[in-house]
Amino acid sequence: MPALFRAPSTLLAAGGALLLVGAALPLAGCGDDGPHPIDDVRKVSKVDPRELLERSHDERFARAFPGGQRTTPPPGMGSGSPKPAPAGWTWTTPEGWKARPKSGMREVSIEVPGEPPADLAVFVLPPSGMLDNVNRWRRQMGLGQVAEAALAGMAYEHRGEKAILVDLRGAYEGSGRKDRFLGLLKMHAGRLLSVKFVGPEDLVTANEQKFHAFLKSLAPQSGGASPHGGSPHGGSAHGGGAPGTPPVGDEGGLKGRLTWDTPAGWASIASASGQRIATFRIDGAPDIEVRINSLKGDGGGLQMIGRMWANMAGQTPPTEEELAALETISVLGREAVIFEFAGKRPVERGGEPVDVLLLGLMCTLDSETLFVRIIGEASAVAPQKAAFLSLCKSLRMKE
Amino acid sequence: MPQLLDRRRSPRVVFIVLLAFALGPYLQSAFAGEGDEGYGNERKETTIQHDGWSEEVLDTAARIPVQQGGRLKPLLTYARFTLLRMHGYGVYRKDKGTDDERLIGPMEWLLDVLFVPEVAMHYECFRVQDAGALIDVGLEKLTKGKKKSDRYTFAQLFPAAQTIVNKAREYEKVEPRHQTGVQRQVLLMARNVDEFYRLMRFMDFARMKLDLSSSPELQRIFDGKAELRASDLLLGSEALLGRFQKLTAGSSGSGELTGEAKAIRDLLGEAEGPVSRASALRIIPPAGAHAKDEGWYSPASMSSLAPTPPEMANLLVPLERAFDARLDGAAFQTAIQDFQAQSKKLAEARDEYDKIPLEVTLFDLSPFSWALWIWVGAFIVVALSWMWPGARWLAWGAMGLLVVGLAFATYGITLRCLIREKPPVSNLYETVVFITAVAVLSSVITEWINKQRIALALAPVVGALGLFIAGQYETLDAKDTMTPLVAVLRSNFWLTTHVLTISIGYCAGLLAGLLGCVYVLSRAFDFKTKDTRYYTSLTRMTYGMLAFGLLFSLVGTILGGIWANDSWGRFWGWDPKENGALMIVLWSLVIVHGRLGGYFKAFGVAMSSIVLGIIVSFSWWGVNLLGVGLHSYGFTQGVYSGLMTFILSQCAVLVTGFFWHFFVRKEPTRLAT
Amino acid sequence: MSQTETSAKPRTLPPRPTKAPKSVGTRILDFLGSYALAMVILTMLLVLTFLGTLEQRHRGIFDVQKDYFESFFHVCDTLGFPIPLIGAVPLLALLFVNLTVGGMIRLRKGRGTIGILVAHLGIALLLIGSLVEHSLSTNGNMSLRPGETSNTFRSYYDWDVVVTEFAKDGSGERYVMPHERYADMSDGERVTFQSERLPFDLVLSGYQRNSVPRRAPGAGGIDGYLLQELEPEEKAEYNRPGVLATLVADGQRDEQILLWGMQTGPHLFEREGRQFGIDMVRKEWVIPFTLKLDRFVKDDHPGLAMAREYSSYVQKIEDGTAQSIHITMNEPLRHRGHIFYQSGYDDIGRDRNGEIIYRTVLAVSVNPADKIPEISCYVIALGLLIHFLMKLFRYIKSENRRQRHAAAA
Repeated sequence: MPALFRAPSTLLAAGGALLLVGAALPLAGCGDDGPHPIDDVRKVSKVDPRELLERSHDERFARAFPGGQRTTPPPGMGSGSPKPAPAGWTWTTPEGWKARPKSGMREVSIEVPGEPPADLAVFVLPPSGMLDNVNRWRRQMGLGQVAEAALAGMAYEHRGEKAILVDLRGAYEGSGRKDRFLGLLKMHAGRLLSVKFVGPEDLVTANEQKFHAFLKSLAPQSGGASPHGGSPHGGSAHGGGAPGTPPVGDEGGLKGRLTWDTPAGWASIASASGQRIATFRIDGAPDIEVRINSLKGDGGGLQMIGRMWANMAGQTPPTEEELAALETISVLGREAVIFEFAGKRPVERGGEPVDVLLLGLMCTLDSETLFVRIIGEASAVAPQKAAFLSLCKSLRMKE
Repeated sequence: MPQLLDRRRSPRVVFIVLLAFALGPYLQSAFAGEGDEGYGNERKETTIQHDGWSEEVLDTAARIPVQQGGRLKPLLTYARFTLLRMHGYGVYRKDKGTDDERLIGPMEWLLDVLFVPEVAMHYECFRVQDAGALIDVGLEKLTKGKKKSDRYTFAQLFPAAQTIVNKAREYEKVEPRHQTGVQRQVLLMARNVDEFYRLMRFMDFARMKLDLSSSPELQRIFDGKAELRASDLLLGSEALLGRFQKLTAGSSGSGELTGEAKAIRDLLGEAEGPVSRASALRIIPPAGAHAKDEGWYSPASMSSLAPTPPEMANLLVPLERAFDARLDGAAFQTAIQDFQAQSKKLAEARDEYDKIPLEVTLFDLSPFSWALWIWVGAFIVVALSWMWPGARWLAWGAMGLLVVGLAFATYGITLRCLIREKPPVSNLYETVVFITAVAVLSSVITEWINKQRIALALAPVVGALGLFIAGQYETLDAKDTMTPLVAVLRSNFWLTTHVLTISIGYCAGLLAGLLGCVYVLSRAFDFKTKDTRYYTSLTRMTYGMLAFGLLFSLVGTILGGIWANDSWGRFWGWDPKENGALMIVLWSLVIVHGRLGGYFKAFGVAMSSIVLGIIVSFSWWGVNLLGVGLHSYGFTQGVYSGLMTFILSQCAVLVTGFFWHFFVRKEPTRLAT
Repeated sequence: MSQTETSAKPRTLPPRPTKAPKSVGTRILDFLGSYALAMVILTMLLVLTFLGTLEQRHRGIFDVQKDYFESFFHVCDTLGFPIPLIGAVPLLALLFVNLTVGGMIRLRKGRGTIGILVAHLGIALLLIGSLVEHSLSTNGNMSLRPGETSNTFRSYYDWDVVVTEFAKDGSGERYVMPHERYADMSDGERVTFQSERLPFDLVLSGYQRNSVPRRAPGAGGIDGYLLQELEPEEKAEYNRPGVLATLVADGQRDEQILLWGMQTGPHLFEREGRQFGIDMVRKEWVIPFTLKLDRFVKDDHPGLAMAREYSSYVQKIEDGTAQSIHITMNEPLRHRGHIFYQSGYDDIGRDRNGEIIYRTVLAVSVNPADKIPEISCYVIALGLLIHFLMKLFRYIKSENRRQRHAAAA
């Protein structure tokens, strides 16, 4: 047998050499126990927390649940194309206008012939602020921004529903000529219907009648509300929970100072989230979630909250009159508005639409706004209305 | 001059030679992974009597260009690989058990399917390797009296076609790694039945005759013809569509069509069925208004061009004539020749035809088959030269045959390079052929240097075995071996040099291993014990081959890293193929350093070279098996059993060597200097 | 036969001259430069590579690489029984030492060994290059839609926890807690981060490499959610990590937030009237220039869905000037230490004409050792070629001489 090692001592030398060599190489830090200073601070140019309001954990973790994307591959790993919204609209193409195939986010795509041609597109988007969209279009036309108040002047009725009609003149995306932009915005079944018609000014003006005829013909296909692409709402805790005392909170801010009487059959769950004051689960109705939270300032305003909560319930957003006519109760010495929205929406992603009921309270205080909200299947929420109202009425500051 | 062969040993040699021939069929079946052919009775329920096709017809049809799998190829290639995939053999035995029994080639088979489907549907050319698949789709009755792996006709399988398709859709969702044998068979069955069906229905459009007697207006569009064939319809498509648009211009597009417009729409609707079934073969070159298109058309896809350019529609005319004349040899020949000529002209106008004749030559001439049999002949001559060592002309003869075989092999490789317009090694099949040729070449060179007749004996064995493996690979894989490459393998200097050097490295490693086998077996069987020069030469050849292999493997591995670095930004990724090449380099280095350090002497070099051969075979074939389930039918099963056979045989040699070294030998072998 | 027996006399060697006994240092050097050590290391590397290849049947390449080829020690059980293995790091280091001592310093220098010396030099260079690459290189990717610009690239595997403070004007300050500081925490360990500019400390704990949020049963969990640990994905890029973040400030209640790599956006919270968001995102590096995708071109094989060729036309924007560059397979863009490779593409929908829109994916790497493998390849090839050719000629000459003698005899 060929001799590989001359003497046993060389074996020891081998082991020692390996250890030495191994130790000489840079080893990963064995973990300092002290706190690490954060030395990497970067400037980020565009963030808008307003768009991220009310993003609950349910919405944050939406991708983890069936129907949501369970495995979202990182970019470049073949993520596949997003599917266009399911067809839900019918319309008539005016004479002389050329319909093009549906593509991506464009529900309808039409070309109005001309040199250069005008373009008409219909989008059905997740809900977002009307004002934001109007200002976005204004930016595209090279115009300045407007305030919320200006929206009142753009009111338009579309198929019996409240909408906004936008009429702008300018240069579209730096085209260097005179363009005209006609647009329609309407909330429908929890989505934002957006129609955009833009092209050279004389071409658009010549086709203005046809545009309105098109708008008149644009209707949702028969049936209920289109499936919600938004996140599932409401929790699903099972069974009862912790005693109904508010968590010991921080001084300052509503959280530590607010108290209430927990209705029978409701249990308060410990919640550590900053804006959440309390969360309740109801015995026998595990799919309903009740939450109390607060937001700085006016929390977005009555109209925005009304619109948002109406969407969540699958109802069309309330009109000005309807908002004004809402019931109020006295909470913390103020007039707090009670919302009640009922509509049809799938509760599970991809499921059948069911009757949904939302009960909400909005109470504007000095520097913040308090919200109480309960949403779930109508059959489960309706019996809780009395409990909900009694909870709201019992809200008070701690002595 | 020392005796090359001790006369007492000659029976041993003869025995070994005979053993090699006896093992042959066993090896073949080990590679093929299944038993015999499975003959059965062919029921002819048709009244069509077809006498076969003439040689000219077969040759012309072979040269019809068809675009499939991303490239333009002769119809012969398509026929060959389709038959291979469906049937498992490159030829079909027709009319079994009758007086007319004969073997037909793939081109004849395809023409039968296209033009006399009534006969071809009873050909037993569907191989099903697991009868369980038939039971799975409800065809259990068929399996009575048949073996587990057997052949069936289209007519037998078709009644269950819907079930097969449904099951296949289900099984497609299972990850290939986890598919069972039955699932794979059902998927294969679905694919084969579908393709056969589409080929059978391909000429349906030629049977179609549209009756215009009740529409005089339409007759006017078609020059007064009262009966339209598919070609007439497509040739007149521009006029027809123009008329339709004029008739419907004013309307809103939602009303009912009346009169002529309705007649046009009905006509198109009637024609749609048969024409849409002509989808299996893209044999219509783009021309006229579509001349710039890259993809070729089938009659079905051509009909959806609105309008169809007449240059393209014209090609249907000879096809219809051919179908009309399918039982009339001479007229059929004229029609097919017409079609081929027209198609060729259009293809030449696009500069696409020039490789077609080359590829037909490649398959007709089969240079690799020639090389294989010439090398078998060379081996016989070498065996004879051992028995009569004095007759030097035998050795020269063997050398000559080796070189001739090498010329054929090189011709084959060159043809492939010309056809694909790529360097010689771009897929696994081509590595086999290339490495075999290089092995023979290096053996010839080695023999020329040292004239020991060892390399001379090894070369034809390696050559014939290598080409045999290549043939088996092609049969088992049953896919076109000249497929287009994925984008990342687009030709690139580093990639090409890497592939060539690694292949040469593999070749040298295997040869070193085989030379090591010769050394060990010679020692074990007491061959030329006193002839130290024999053993010295052997050892030197082995070591030289090893060093040569080390050079190429090491450089080739690093070149691979450089290519990967330029393509993806990482030089070394520890993936199986890279690791395989690294293992070859590492072991070669171990042998080299072992020899330099005095740890390996002649015997040690021989034994470690055999290990090197095992590592090379693992790197070449084994790593491909890792990603896919090992125990599955067909291709991977064949590769797996072939690889295992080789590794076990080498282990047997190693065991023999150990046994000899430690228990048998009487004196230590001298250090080879 | 008798002839063999009588000739088997033991060879008598001349008496060995007495030498001074070797010192310990010399013996260590002897050992370090010995053929035996080379053989043992190479064989151990071979076994390591073989087992690492087998293991890739079941585990992803990233994990196998970490365990076998970037470690000091690993117990392999891919064959069903445990096999202790020394990792590639100490083996390669020792190989380097052996190569230098035995293959270069102590090599007998002469005409016959110059090829070997050069080859060893090349291998040593390759080993140095791989050390540099391992410790100093960065890899990630950048994806661009047509018209999109970017000056950052993201890691495939590393995730940072970031806290962003939102300013009123729509900008933000992002505080980054890097992957390497917390991701190797053991069970129960807590890692604390602090900054004078933040009114709280951030404590990370319970890091899981691949996880998914689940609704917590009963009233447990963090706001009704828990992170459930998952088996690591075979392709490590698909792992979705999770961690628990706790905000700690004196005298205030700790707030706990669950973070998950695939969350749809940051979690917002307020402290001292300031708005913050906390998120878990892939690690991002900034590039000293900007790339903009003008056009992505994909060309398919006719009749197949397989891409024949694809490439990106980009603009490199630096100091206000733009330069058009074409990045294709095998032809990367190299600029200021960054290398951009055409790695792949994504299908992200259709445009108004129904045409598919592609997003290009460029692999980005910062690798100071980029050119070293190529140089070492030339050096090694040269050395081996020299050596091999010399040996070959010598062999041919000696064969010819032998045959001439045999013919004369």
